[in-house]
Amino acid sequence: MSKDKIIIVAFGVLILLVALIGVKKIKALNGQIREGKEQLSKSSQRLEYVDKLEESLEERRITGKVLVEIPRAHDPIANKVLMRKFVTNFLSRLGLEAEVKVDGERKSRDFPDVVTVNEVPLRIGISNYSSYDQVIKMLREFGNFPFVVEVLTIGGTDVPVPGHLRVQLKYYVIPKGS
Amino acid sequence: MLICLDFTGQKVNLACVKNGKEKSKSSSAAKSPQLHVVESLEVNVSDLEEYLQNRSGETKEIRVSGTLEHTFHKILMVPDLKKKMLRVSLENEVVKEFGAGCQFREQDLGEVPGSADKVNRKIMVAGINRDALEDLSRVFAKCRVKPNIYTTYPIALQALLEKTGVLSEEPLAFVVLESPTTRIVIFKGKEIRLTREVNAAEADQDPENSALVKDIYRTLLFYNDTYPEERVARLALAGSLSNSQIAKNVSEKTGAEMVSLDLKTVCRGIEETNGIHPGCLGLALLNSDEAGLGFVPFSVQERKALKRILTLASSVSLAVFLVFALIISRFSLDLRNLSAFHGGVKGEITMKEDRLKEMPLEFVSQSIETTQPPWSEVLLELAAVVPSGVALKTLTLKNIKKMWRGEITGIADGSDEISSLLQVEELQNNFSKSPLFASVKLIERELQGKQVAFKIVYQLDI
Repeated sequence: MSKDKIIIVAFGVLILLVALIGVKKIKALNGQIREGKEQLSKSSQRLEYVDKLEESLEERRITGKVLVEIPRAHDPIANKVLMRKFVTNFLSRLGLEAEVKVDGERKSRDFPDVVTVNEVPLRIGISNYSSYDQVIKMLREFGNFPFVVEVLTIGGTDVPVPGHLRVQLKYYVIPKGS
Repeated sequence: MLICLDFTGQKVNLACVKNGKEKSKSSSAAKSPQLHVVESLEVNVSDLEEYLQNRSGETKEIRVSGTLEHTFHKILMVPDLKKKMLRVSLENEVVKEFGAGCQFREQDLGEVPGSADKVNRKIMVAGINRDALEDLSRVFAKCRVKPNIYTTYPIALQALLEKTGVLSEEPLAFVVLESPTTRIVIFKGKEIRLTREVNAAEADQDPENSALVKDIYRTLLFYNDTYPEERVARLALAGSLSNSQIAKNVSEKTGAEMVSLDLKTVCRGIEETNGIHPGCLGLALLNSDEAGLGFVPFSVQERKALKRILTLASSVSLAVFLVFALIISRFSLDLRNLSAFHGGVKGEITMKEDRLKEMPLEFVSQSIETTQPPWSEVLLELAAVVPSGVALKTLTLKNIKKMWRGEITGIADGSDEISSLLQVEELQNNFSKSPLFASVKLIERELQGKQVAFKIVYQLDI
């Protein structure tokens, strides 16, 4: 092979090598940029969400539209008793005789990791409600406390507690020091 | 300094020439001849290398003319063809005439009428034996400065005649009288018509140079035979052996007018150098830009081509490398900017999340408000959509994966089966029409005498 052909081939190989390495590097960078943009887009969405949430919570704090917390003890069993008594008395004041079952406190999965919130599952069985309005009133009153209804049934058996009107709900607890 | 080397003799004729403008920039220099002959001498080929090495520092350019026996000149008539075809045609003609072992250059002398209406081109080719050219090239292998012009002896002479104003469209014989070889070249305009070497007899054998004169005369006669319509009426003598006696003898014998060359118009320093060799002077006078009949040895051509390829390949490689480097640096910069921006956004999110942690109760309140349905409205709407004659047995609402799904069961008690079924249908329609309910489906319907038991599922549209 003549010298000029050897030079051309050698430089051709060199150019090919440079091109291959270059293209590989460019592809890798492009991938990183694409990934970065996707992450940025997610972060921007997250920022927007957090921003709106902050705005809304700030507004809530300013307007004083906050919930009433039930007094709590340090002992979990005492807390259960306190909770059962509170709900029974609460319903009793509304003219409802109820059987209340309180489960153990656990970490709630209903909230993002931004805040730490626990939940106490509750089951309420009422057998003596006299009118539909009484039910509506009870549900409205729940709104003043950090209660959230999960199941409401009249005449059904979806909630394992005796009674004609059965409610399964959660009581949200803000752990101390969070 | 320009070194002109003429290899036509046994020794190398050499002239060192300086450009007049180069030497002095005064206004008087512009009026004086351009060339200044510094040195003119003969050296042996074996001593040439040493001489050139001694002069290496001041040498800027070297020009070389080859031996006459290894060169040829020919006027060819070829059809007027395109450049590439013309080149092929010329190559064929030259190979036919002088064999394949030569390099040649051509000079277009213009159009001449051909057969019928066709036009031919008159082309002068000047060639040199390839091996002879390589041998010449090898002489300069160790020199720092390599010759930039290799040409033939007559072409150098032609340049001299042209610059001294002697060359015209009339045939002119230029005789360079040297010992032991005298060279005769006949020019007509730009055409080199004839070249001949004549061996001069020893001075003691032929004191009057009558044999030489006869040879010159025979050469002119030969020319007249070749070109019967032309006669060489002018003759110029040069060379170390030329003198007035020979000039007179030649003029008388040939009847040609003797033309003298006024070398002072083209160069200075002639007196000091005691007569510069005309071939060397011609080489010095060749315009390097117009040296159309200059040759480049194949080995040099190959080296140049190799260098060109190397330069081109390096440039292309470098360009490719630079392009990739630019793209990569651009992308890297973009990535860095993106990362920095993303870092900023993340920081802002963390800051806001930290602030949110201080408002857990508000958070819970917000969550409850957004996930709980408006119970009063829902229950009142449920009561409203149930038509008379229909009794609900059960009513259930469940929050499943952030979606409120409901189920009602009951009995429609109409006057007969049909009215009971119509009541169930009315109930279903009422559900469907309500803005609070969606995806309403009657999933069970059972006749129980006149009554109809039913089950409807739905979703809360909140």
